[in-house]
Amino acid sequence: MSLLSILDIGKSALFASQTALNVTSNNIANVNTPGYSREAVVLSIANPVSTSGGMVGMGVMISGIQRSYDRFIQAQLLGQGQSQGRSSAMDNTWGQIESVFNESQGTGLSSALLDYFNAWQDVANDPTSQTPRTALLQKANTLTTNARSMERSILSTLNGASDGISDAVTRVNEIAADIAKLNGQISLQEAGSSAQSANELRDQRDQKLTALAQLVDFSTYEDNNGSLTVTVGMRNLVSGTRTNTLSAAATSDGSMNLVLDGISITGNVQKGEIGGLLAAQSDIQSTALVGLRKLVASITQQVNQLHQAGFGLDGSTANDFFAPLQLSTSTNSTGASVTASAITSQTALTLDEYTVTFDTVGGTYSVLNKQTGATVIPATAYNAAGTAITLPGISVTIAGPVTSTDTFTISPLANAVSNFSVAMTDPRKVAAASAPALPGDNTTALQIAQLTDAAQLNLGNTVFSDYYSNIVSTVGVMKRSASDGLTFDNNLMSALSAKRDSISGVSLDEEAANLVRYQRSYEASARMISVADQLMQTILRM
Amino acid sequence: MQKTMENYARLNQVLGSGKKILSPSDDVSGSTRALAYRVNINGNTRYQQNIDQATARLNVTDTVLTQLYSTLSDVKGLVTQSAGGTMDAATRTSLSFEASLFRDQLADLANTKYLNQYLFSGFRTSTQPYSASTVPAYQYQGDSGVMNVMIDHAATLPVNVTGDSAFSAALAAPAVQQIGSGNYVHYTPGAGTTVNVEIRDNTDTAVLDTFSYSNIMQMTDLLSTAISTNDTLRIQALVTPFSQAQDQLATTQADVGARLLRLKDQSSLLTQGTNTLQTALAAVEDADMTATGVELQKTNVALQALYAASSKIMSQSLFDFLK
Repeated sequence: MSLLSILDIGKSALFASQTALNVTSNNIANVNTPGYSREAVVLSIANPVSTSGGMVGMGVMISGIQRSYDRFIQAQLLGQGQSQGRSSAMDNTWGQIESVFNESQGTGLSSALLDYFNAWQDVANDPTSQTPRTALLQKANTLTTNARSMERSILSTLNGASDGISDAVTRVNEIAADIAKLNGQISLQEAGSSAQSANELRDQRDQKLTALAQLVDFSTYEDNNGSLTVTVGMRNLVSGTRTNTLSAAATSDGSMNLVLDGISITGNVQKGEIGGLLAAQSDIQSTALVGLRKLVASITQQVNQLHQAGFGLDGSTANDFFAPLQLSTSTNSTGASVTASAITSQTALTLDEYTVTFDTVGGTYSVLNKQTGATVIPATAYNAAGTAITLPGISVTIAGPVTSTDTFTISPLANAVSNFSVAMTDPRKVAAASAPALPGDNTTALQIAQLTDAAQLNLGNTVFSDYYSNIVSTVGVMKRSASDGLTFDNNLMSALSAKRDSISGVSLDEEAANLVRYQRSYEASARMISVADQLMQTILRM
Repeated sequence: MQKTMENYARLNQVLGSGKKILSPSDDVSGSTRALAYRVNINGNTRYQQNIDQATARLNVTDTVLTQLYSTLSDVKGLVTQSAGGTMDAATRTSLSFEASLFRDQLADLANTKYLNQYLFSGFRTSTQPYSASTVPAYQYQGDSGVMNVMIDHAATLPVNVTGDSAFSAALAAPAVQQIGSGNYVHYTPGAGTTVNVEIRDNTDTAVLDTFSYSNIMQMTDLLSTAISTNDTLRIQALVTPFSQAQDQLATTQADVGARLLRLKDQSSLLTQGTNTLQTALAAVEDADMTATGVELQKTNVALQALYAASSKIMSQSLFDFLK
């Protein structure tokens, strides 16, 4: 205990105040930095020494700089960010689909459909005249054009979703690389010392995680070295300083398949933007796209069936009004292929799509309904030399070696809308009559006009307009639930962010008060040193 | 602030379009109902148009049938006049000529065209139903096709009248009659609307004369020839057929009248239905302009207040007070 120790105490006080001022000014500087956690200096008493008068402290010591950080809130924010990413992606995508079916704004198929069948009534009212026939062909063209453009819009939305998934995957990989780098830096900085915490680096890493949460759902695990392991879809994305690359590839039916570390994880990604886009894609394909295609296919099938039996003004018969339905097959196999496919009877088609799966153990194939999953043809022996598969109105032959994961898709619907077109140009060939050379005969025209009121077996026993209305209301419901979900997630996110800010955010008022406080203590410490200096000078002059 | 702005923009759109349902997701059940109402209204409008066209056609038919009836009455008068057989050659010639004129008039009326199609030909609308050059003359060239139009969901109405049913005096079963001179006349139905007539003697054994007719034009033609040759038996044999033809024409006219009445009733039913549907559609879809306008004003005021408050809050901090 000496005068010099006063200098030491003063020095420690000066350093402490200086550091505290640095931390405060850092807080003020970062008041607008997103994800920044307020830091505070932790001061403690320096080890006291024993003197004759008792224990005397040796000044102040900085035991650490602490980040105001609530791990629980952070975890909640990450989880909420994943939900929000999904809701936002679904709301956005369904909003685009809704605008295709928005009857109140004039888009959609309803009025074109009504006009078309009304045009048949005009022909029935005046079968000998050219004018209603020409008008009928025009209205039919409008119907086909509208349907085709609706399908194009839906397909472009789906493609946009696929592109969105690819972009998100690229961003995920970038963020993963950044997290891996930060892992290395944090481990390095925190190595050895149990008290040191790489505050700024951890804040940065948390920022990266927040951005990642918007994209995909993941879980994290932090080990003792401060290194974070990030797993997506139960595979490691980031492990220490190593990353695995997430990739997305388009499948044959227009959706995306995610692969991480060699394993397909598409089924395990539910949240985030990627999860939302995947879910929206699959929902849109199974409701809006299939619904539109089935409706158009049913109209084609029913009108053609009646029209072929009728006679035109020039006596011609057996003419299709619309271009007939065509079969499309898609192959998901390396060894086998479809060698023959044909529609054997247009009228026998049930307008379902089929999936062919294989069981190499039993050497069999089976056919399932693609939409419902119901078995259409149970396990039947498969011959690699060529197996003919017969379905209502369809006959397909598959040949070649198969594996258990191979699938084939058989569908009369895939091209139903893109091929939807009027197959005749001559108004005189429009079949209004039921027998040749009877110009006033309007029975066929009347039958076709009455199709609007006929319940269609292939559409689940509903009439055309009800089936279409169901599609529109399904789209409306999906959009409604997506936007409601988004509102809810947004609200929750705001509440959580506000909570986080209240814990970790910088309050300028508080920092201003701290500034004053540490400034005063700095001044006092400086004063103390000059007093100690004076005391020493007094002693030296003795 | 963002929420208020979104609300403001939406209210603006509602006011501009006049509809409170801007997209299906705004009100799913409402927009489904609105779609169904629209489909129904469209159907009703369509049926209304069909009814208007059918009414026009049936009105023309009715007019022609009325004229035909009056001409047929004149022919009947001629029959009664000449049945007595007490006319001199000059009268007979002029009456025969009159009968032939009536025959031509009947044929012309029966050949009426409406919208460039023959009214009474059934489905063979480009074929003239009655012509003097056919063999036999004035044989019906049309068919019995009935043209239906839709006047409601599952309801159709025939809009044409075919010549073979309107202008014939077909018999269901053979009939025998005794005419004024004591002769027996046998009427036997033949193919289609043909009636074969046998005039026998007073004892109903020997066949004196046979002829056949299938429509009023042929009957009038026969009458004209009979008058000029003073074949009173034939003239008398034609009395009952003409009565029957008149009844048949009257029945056809009544049927057309009933159809027109049906169309009128259906039309007013559809109009009422359309009004109800449009009211319902407006209730679901249309925005209450006054209420929306007030809402817009309120939102605007809230927005302004928000702006003012925010600017005050955001500009102050402790630093303003420390020197």
